[in-house]
Amino acid sequence: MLAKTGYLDMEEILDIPGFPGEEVLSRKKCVVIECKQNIPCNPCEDACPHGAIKIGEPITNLPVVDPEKCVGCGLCVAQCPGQACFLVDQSAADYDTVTLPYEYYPLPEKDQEVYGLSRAGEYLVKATVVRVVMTKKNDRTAVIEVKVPKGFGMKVRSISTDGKRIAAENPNEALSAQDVDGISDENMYVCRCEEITKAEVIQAVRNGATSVNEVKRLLRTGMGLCQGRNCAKTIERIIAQELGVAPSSVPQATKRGPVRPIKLTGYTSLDIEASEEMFEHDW
Amino acid sequence: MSRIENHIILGDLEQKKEVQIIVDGKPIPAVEGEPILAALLASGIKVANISPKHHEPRGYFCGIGRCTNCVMTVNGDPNVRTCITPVEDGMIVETQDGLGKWEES
Repeated sequence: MLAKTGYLDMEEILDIPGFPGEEVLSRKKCVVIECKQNIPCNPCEDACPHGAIKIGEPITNLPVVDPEKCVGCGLCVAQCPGQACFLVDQSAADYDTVTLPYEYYPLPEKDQEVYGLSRAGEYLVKATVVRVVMTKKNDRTAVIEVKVPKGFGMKVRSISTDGKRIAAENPNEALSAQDVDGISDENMYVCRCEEITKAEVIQAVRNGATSVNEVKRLLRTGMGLCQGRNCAKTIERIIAQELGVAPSSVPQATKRGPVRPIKLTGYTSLDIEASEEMFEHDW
Repeated sequence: MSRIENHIILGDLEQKKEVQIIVDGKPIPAVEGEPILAALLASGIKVANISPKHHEPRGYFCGIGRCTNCVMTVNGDPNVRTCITPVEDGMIVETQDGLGKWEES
């Protein structure tokens, strides 16, 4: 679901190494790292003073949580650039607590009643702020601990202080999973400058194009103002998908300077004399 | 649309000199040095140009000078990326139709 909707669903979380397991959470406060994409990133590993988070080599590994070493300090919550670290405590009998990163004004205060939101950003349940941590070490990310009703510890992942917004929210307008599946990306622009859609690129590949340059010659993709800065990689992926090969094996578009668009006066106003060696190119 | 005056990560908005730019003949307030696009968005102008092929309105997309979706005609120069071009007092900005034209041609 992450690829389709942009957020994880509960089934996916149970599989990832950053989830310490329901048994641990029912016993103590522990970090839950909802990190499922193999991106090169490891601030959580460095943030933990107790070595409870392990990424190691290569840096694209997913973080693995050692629940016995985690003391629930919350340093990783503020450090994660993707805001994927949370502390969850389901050990109390009548409530759960969730500690989450928060980067909005106004900051809530202790004992304030706020609105607990799901991973999808929808209003779930009212929550009470237990603690607000805004230290210099956290670098402008507030770490907020909220108390939520029993059973919401693995559901509430953000909060809102805006009661008006919550009241105006219409649950009937939210997209369901079926709606998302039904959206076709065929008419999505791949090349925005020349206004070429995904369907047109797929048609070009079916007509025999096997490289980004061939698609360009058929459709003009990458020949507009931006000179292929946005579409080249996307087209590479579409060709790979259509031909059933790895994206790295698709011949890339020819790259030419300048890297950034500049005015011709940028060249002509240079205060230099042309000398012989300037014309000796090896290309 | 209004400006973000205080932001938890970016801090408070600095006080800078107010200038005026002319957008399609109408004067619009701007802050010196900010991108043209920021001034337009703060005044609620979202359409920068009309696309050449399907004639659809286009505006802010990448915001870092990469995609050329926000190009406009500025002081007579077509295809100026407004998201990375700083505002100057008295600039004349026009919504561009298609690929735009140089004034003399």
